[in-house]
Formats: sequence, structure tokens, C-alpha cells
Amino acid sequence: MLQIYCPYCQELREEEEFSPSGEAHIARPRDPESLSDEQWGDYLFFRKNPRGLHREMWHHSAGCRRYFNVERDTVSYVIARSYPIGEDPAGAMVEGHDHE
Amino acid sequence: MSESAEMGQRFAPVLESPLHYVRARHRNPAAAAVTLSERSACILLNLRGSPENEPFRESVRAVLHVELPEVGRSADSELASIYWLGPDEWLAVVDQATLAEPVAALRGAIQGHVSIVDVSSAQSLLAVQGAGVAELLQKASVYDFHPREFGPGRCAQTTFAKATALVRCVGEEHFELIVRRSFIDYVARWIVDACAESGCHISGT
Repeated sequence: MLQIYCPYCQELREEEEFSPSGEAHIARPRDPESLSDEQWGDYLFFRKNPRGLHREMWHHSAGCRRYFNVERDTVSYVIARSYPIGEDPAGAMVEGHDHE
Repeated sequence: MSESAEMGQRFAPVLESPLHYVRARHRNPAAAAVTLSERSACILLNLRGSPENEPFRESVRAVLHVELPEVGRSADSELASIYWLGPDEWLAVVDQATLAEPVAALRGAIQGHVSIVDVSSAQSLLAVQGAGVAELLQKASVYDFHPREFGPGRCAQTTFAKATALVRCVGEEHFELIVRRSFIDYVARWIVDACAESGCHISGT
């Protein structure tokens, strides 16, 4: 059972309150008409499946009902940090950081 | 009598408390440690707007006489209680007797990018009080309702049995649950079952 820090509720909550929503930071192409079928297919269906740190979206469905991003290690399940939607993730991969 | 008038008579609407069916079998004020009651004469409003929107905060203060509470907290005035739901979302519970038209009053006072929606018929407010109520809630939810963490004025939306609820601590051994209307019968039966050892009394008519 994971404990996930919700950046909006500002506390650690049980995984049961959340639903996972897959990879984060997938930007919709600005001009879909100009894409090839392959590029559009990549955008729609293809996701990273890394071994190690992964940025993903979670939804606090039983709580504040907001989406936010989580940096989670797919091997150890350690959550490095969680941050609100819209925040820039650049250079923010911090391993072993917790929210105490 | 015309056919439609006859139908109207046969299906005359009746106001029925969501606790109607479970209440009849759990009336035992003398032997019960826990009391469950529904607060029915209130209006529930969903307020949405940016917390940085000063006119929004100002008009809520002017109409409901209460500040929009911070994260995970609730606030009270003689007119209303407000619960924090999300970074730009609050729930106001207004006593129908003191302020009959809160939606009109708020809409009249607020300009700009806000939303005020009456959700009274979607949700209802239950009060649970008595000895060991925090332990009772603990059985239902993954959230930590220990008074050390969850004192008076705190509120949280979380799972409750197989439903969800907005829970608020009012005082020692006194909590409020705001549950969706269609889940209330289930939640009430669940609470009755969970306090089988101490007994549960469901008050009201």
C-alpha cells in the first residue's frame, strides 16, 4: 500500500483514495493536422515504461478530486515527490526525498 | 376526475428522510452509546472561485459572515459552516431558518469568475456523536481520525466504508458526515453494524 502526498490537501493519504492516470507531461500537439499517422499514433498510444524514476499523474478521487504529478521509482515504489499540475518538473528528479 | 389529476393524486410527492427505513429499527436512546441524526433543514452550496479572488472572499464574508477556511479546515458563523473541499472549492452549509435564499444573496453579492451551485438534494449531513466515535470512524476509513491529528475544525474528504464522505470534527466525540443522498441508507446501516457492541440510536422523525 502506497502513501501518497497530495500537494493540494497537503498531507499523506492512503493509496485507496487515489486512482493512477498514467504518464504525466504529455503535451497535446499544437497542430494535429500537420502530423503523420505515426506521430499521432505515438502521441495517442505510446507511453514510456521506464525501470526507475517515472513521472506519472494521479487523481485524488476520494479526496479533493484534483489531478497532480508524482515522481515514483517503478522498481522500489519510493515516491520522490509530488507536485501540482502545471509545475515545471525540470531538474527536479530528487531521489529519496520525503515530505516530513 | 381527469386521468392526469388522478395520476397526480396517486403519485403525490412525499418528503422522506434518507434515514427513514433504517431509523424505524434502531430507536433505542437509553441503551445506545452512539447517536446518529440527520440535519435536514439546511441548504448545501458548492462554491468555486480562486482563493486569490479578493471580491469573492469579501462577498462570502459579507453574506455568510465567515472566512473561506484554509486547507483541510472548516469555519463557522451564526449563518453558515464552510468546509474546504479543494484548492478552489468550498462547501457551505446554510441553516434554512436563518438565511432562506443563500444562492440569490451570494449571486447578488459576487461578480466575476465564480460558481455557486445548490447541491442540497445531492448530499445530506449526518451528525454522529457519542463515546468512541473516533474509533468507529476509524473502522470505516483509511484516514486517521485520532484527535491528535483530527481535532475540532478539521475536515477531510475520504473513503467511508465502500462510499466516500466529507468528515468534520465538531468537538470531542462529535463528528459530521456529509454523504451523497443515495449512499446515506448504506452508510447508516454500516454505522449501526459497526457499533453493534455499544448500540446505535437514530434520532429524528
